[in-house]
Amino acid sequence: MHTYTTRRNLKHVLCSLSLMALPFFMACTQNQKAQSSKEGTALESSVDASAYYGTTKPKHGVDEIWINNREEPQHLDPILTHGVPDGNLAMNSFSRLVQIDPTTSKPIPDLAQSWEAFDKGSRYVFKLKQGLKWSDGKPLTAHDFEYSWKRLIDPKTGAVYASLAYSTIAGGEAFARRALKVTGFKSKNEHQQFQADLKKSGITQIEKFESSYSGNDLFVFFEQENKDSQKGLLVKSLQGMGGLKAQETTPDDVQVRATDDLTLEVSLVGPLPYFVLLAEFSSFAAIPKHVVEKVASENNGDASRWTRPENIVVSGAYKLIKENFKIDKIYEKNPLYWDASNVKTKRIVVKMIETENAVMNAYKVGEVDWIGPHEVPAEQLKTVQDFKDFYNDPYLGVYYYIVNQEIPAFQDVRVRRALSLSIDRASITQNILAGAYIPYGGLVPDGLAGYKSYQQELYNPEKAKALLAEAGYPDGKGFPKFKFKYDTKDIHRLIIQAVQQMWKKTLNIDVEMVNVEWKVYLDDMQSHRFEMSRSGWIGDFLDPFTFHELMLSNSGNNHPLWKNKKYDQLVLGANELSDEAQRFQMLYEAEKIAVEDVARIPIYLYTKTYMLKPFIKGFYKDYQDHHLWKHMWVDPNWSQGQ
Amino acid sequence: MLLFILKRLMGVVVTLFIIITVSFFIMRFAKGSPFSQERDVPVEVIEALKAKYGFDKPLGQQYTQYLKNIMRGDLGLSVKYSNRTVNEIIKISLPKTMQIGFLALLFALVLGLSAGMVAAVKQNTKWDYSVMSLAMFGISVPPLVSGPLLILVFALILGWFPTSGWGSWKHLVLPSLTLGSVYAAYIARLTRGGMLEVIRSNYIRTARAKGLKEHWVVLRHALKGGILPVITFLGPAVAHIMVGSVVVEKIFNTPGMGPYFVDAAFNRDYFLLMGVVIVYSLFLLIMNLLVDIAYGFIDPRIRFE
Repeated sequence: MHTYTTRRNLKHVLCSLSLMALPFFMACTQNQKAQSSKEGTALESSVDASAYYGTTKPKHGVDEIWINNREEPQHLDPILTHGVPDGNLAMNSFSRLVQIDPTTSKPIPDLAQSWEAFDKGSRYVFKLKQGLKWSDGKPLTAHDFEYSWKRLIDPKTGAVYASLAYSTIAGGEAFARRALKVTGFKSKNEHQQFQADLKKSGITQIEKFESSYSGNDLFVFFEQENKDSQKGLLVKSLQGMGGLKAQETTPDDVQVRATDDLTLEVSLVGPLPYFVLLAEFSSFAAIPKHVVEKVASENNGDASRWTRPENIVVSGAYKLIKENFKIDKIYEKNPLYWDASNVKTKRIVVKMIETENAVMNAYKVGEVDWIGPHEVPAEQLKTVQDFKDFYNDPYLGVYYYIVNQEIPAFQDVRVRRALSLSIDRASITQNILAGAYIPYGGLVPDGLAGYKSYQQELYNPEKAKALLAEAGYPDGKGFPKFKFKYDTKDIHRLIIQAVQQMWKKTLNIDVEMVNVEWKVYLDDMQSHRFEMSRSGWIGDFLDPFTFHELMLSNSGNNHPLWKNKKYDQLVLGANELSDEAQRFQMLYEAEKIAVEDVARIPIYLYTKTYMLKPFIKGFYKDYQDHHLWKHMWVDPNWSQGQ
Repeated sequence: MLLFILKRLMGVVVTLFIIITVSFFIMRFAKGSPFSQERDVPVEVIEALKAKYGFDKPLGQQYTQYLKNIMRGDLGLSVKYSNRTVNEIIKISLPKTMQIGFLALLFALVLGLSAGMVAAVKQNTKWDYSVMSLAMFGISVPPLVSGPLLILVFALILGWFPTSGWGSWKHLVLPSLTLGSVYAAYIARLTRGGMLEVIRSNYIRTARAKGLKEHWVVLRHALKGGILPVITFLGPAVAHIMVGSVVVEKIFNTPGMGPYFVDAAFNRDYFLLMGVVIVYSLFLLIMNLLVDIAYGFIDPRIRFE
């Protein structure tokens, strides 16, 4: 009985095994077909379909383009957007004052006609173009910009990128952080005395004082804890004290004003040479006040539905016509866009394919013309990188490792240098990342807007060993076993696995890998609950400052808590220099300090891999991977001979 | 019978209440905030966002407010899909999942029942072996493998169906096949097993002895016995299939409800997660109830317990 059952089961197993093998055979033959035709490419003429990945005929008419945007966006309101999918949709619908010229990467007018900097770059005046209209025909004026930028800063709005605005615009921070404004001073000289008096009173949780931009007012910032009660105390204590009064800050304290329909004046916290580049960021778009307020009044003060297709009004090249939640969004050309005559394609279908493998499949059969924000999955790189529609462009970002500088062992710069010098970066990018990224030794991407970066040696295991010994841990003896925390993603795991071995081999130290979920990882980073970790930064705008500011002592993104006064001085001082060469030189000195003091351990510069159908024209390479739809068009005459 | 149903309904309500309470609190104890981003978020912005969703109130108060809202049918707001309420999201996504689920179930039942019957009736012949091999194949190859394989063969190579997405009947075929194949395999095995158990019993022999045609014997008498284990299996299986497989929906990028179980947890999107948990629990509890009732009808022995 026993053997009979076993034989029967064995037959079942063999049958099912052979069945399972069938699809694999089919897959293998398919691959072989691709291989042999790739070899054929060199011999045959250039008219060869298999030089491209998948179909080269659009599955739609020439008047539309199908793109992927990875996922259903969280916000369509440009003020609230954060993250790449949100940003891509916002920047195509809502124009800002300036846009980036796709061929020169310099800022050129979009809704603005011109602009001028005053006071060494602490004040900007933008002049809008004449006759601008919203997509519903209503006039678009500088007042819309004033409204939108103040709304961006308003804490009640809940915009994650509010800090980009309020850290640069005078009075912004006071409003955003609900500081108190003390009025009634006869001159600013009285501020000093007042601050001293306040210290003696019972109001202890004051974070800082700031004189207002105009007038003699003083802003008082409170610490987060007990903020409301402390504020109440101050208001009360000033009552009846003759002359001085404390009140809440209002949008009027933010120094951005529309002096007339066509003129917008902005006063900054100091000279900021990169402000015009910052103003290109999608959060600085204008939103239609009349629509937002109308929707809010119809919905108990909740304006969130103003971006629904039935309500939305735009200022950019494309307008949302229809949305199918998590399936796709249909955009059509906005005929009232000031540059509508140059917008080439009438209709854009935005799909939301979430996984990389799915989008590669969709691209292959022509369900999308461009894979969008996705990267080509690492396992497929070797297969697709020889196709003509595969691209690998530089991307504005640095990937690096961080060590918590509150830990004694990591406070010794020799230890940090040893850790950095023992990482064979070339081997990692070549072997693990299929050559996709660029090994890097600096902290700011070289060549960004013409900036020359300071880069350290990429690999020197002998020096690393010597440094670690010098620091008191010869051959790793006595070096504590630390935990390396990373968020669950294959690429991070692959890299740290290799680095872990490199550290063991060269320095003879043990590092334990700890894998945590994304939200837990964020939490741990922001509360500095980590020993070693990985991190990265994608630049917000096309100026090196967006990387330098990360490592300022008071930056909220300075997770490893590396602080250096000289570095701060240089970085902030560079803003005062109006000559770009001088400014970049000062930033270079600052970067040198950071790199030599190993503020971070850079691993590689990001690149962006993507697939794009050959019949799509008007697609420009962009450092920030911003590709505006308004430039793109389908070439009906494209054939494979090109 | 009526009393039996009423008693079980009470059980459903109580169980659902416990599920809601436990889930609500467990979710909040997980580390991580729905509002955290790679970039540092200003404290005031987090405060404003918390106030919007009511997260600034004490937890107990949030809980009672949530219960009150559920009573009114309001499942709350999604953090991730800030423009939509949880009710809206479920209303949009659940029907799509059910479409795939329904087709998958149909496929599974038709294929599974007939395969199982054939195997039972033709026990130990080549029919039995091939059917059971296929079944083993279906069970041991998870959707994570069979899905991409189907895409490779039918979408990429043959081009008969789209690779992913939603919009036409063509988008339903591959996901349903993927989802249904595992269930078809289980149903085949269960049917076969159940039928084999009864096919040797006395009353079947009596039916044959009485001269009843073989296909009547099989379809009317043996199948009834064989179908009991299938029904037991179907209860939770239907609930699961109707609420969506995370894996299948992610592979085929279908806009159904399945992915929210993972995504909402990942994003700490509390209300959305609670919403889908409630929907799933309701399905599960009601399906189990229906299974119990069906038992009573099919097997008279149970009715008189």
